[in-house]
Amino acid sequence: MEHADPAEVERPDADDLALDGNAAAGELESLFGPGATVSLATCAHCGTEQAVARLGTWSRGPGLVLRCCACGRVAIRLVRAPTVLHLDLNGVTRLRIPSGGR
Amino acid sequence: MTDAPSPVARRGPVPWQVATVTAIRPETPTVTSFTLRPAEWRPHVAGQHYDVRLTAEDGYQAERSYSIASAPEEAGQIDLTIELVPDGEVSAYFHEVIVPGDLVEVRGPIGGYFSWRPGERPLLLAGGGSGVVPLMAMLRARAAAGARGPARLLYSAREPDEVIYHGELARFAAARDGFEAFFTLTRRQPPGWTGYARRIDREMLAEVARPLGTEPDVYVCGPTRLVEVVADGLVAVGVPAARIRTERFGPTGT
Amino acid sequence: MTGLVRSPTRWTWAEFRGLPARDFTADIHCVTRWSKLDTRWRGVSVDTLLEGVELLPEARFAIAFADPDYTTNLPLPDLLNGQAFVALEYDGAPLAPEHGGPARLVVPNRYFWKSAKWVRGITFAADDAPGFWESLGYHNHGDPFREERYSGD
Repeated sequence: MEHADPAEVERPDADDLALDGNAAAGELESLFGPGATVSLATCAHCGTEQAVARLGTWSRGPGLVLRCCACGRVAIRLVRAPTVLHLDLNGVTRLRIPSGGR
Repeated sequence: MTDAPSPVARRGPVPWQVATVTAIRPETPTVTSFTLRPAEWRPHVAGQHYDVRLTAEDGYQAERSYSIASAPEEAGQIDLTIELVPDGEVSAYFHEVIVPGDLVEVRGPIGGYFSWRPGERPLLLAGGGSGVVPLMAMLRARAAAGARGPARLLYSAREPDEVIYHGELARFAAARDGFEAFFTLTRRQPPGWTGYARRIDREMLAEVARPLGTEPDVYVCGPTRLVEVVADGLVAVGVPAARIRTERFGPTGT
Repeated sequence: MTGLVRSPTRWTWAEFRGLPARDFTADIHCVTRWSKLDTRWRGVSVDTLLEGVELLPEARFAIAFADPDYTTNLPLPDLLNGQAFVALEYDGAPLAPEHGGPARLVVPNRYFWKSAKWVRGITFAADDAPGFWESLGYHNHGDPFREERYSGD
């Protein structure tokens, strides 16, 4: 967005291309309900607990990939094939999903 | 950085539905607002978004998320403010093809994390480029609710004519209801400019955030780099990490 | 180049840029979208990369990998004889990060997820090893001409 100082521009990080879990909210809420992005996910690789909204998200490829915001390893992968939804949660040891109610 | 999962309002599943484009309103040379009437509108919370899906004749589908710009008080309709992105399939379709009366497929409102309900807690909003859109929904909801708690917006843009909602923000600031707007123009400033003229940094964040006390609600939205600089900078000047909610729009806005 | 080779071979970025490169024109097929015809690239053929590398006879599969954990698998013959290259430029300009730059594998005869972005290397193996997407519902072989998109196609 902003014009970077020439000294700072080497190769933009691929990380800069990532959105976050908010961008996957439509898909995730259809699976986990309206609390999907406030849910707390514990990373299987580094143990960091973070809101799903803060996972690094790549959604323009063949499927959805969500990565831990601390260590960058894969937390969740999702592929919607024509007749089956493939969901890989191996990168998450625990998911705390709030239930509804005010 | 953890925060307890906050309760979420119970509601049914959010299906894909058809929405009619009813109005088109340019905001800047590259940003336009579109008013849509979903077949089954339901009230949103400021900060939430809709997913939009376009289907070409050959069946190819493109899907994007756009933040709702309007307040939920505008019943039956939503405004989406969309920036024309270079090589953007969906934004190009909106800017170049869509006319009032056209139908689009939408799904929403979506997003329980980056959402704000009017209250009296101090509020700090920080955004860059089209990241200001969900923050504007929050300010519009705040105005509609008559909230008077202290609220500040720090808005980063490159040049004056890239500032979205400039007139409305000036009116909100003039209302003297506790809201103040701060702008930083990073590439070009108009003559006589007295606002900030550099990329957001810790010193700027400290100045803007200080009067809001130690525990404001904070929402940050924009390109990934800006969001990280702002979030890290606010933590460094003493804002608790758990009070900060972020939404990344990617390197060139939506 | 690692795995079942006589000795693993590495190039620094500077060394890689010094390898003979040429122009390629190809049709590419993304699994979720239409095909894009006559795309123009410049890069180094995998045949060129293999010139100094002696593959062991047991090597039958190639696993391309990118940081931190992306892999995609191809039978070795799919990579040879001009069928694959490491691209450095697209449409006359250096390959942009969002398109896999600075270097990506390009295998036009397979669905484009097999053209690993930000490629770091290729490991040669005796056994097949389904990669990142192949292990989550996508077709192991991915031949667009036989519409092999999803596993079971």
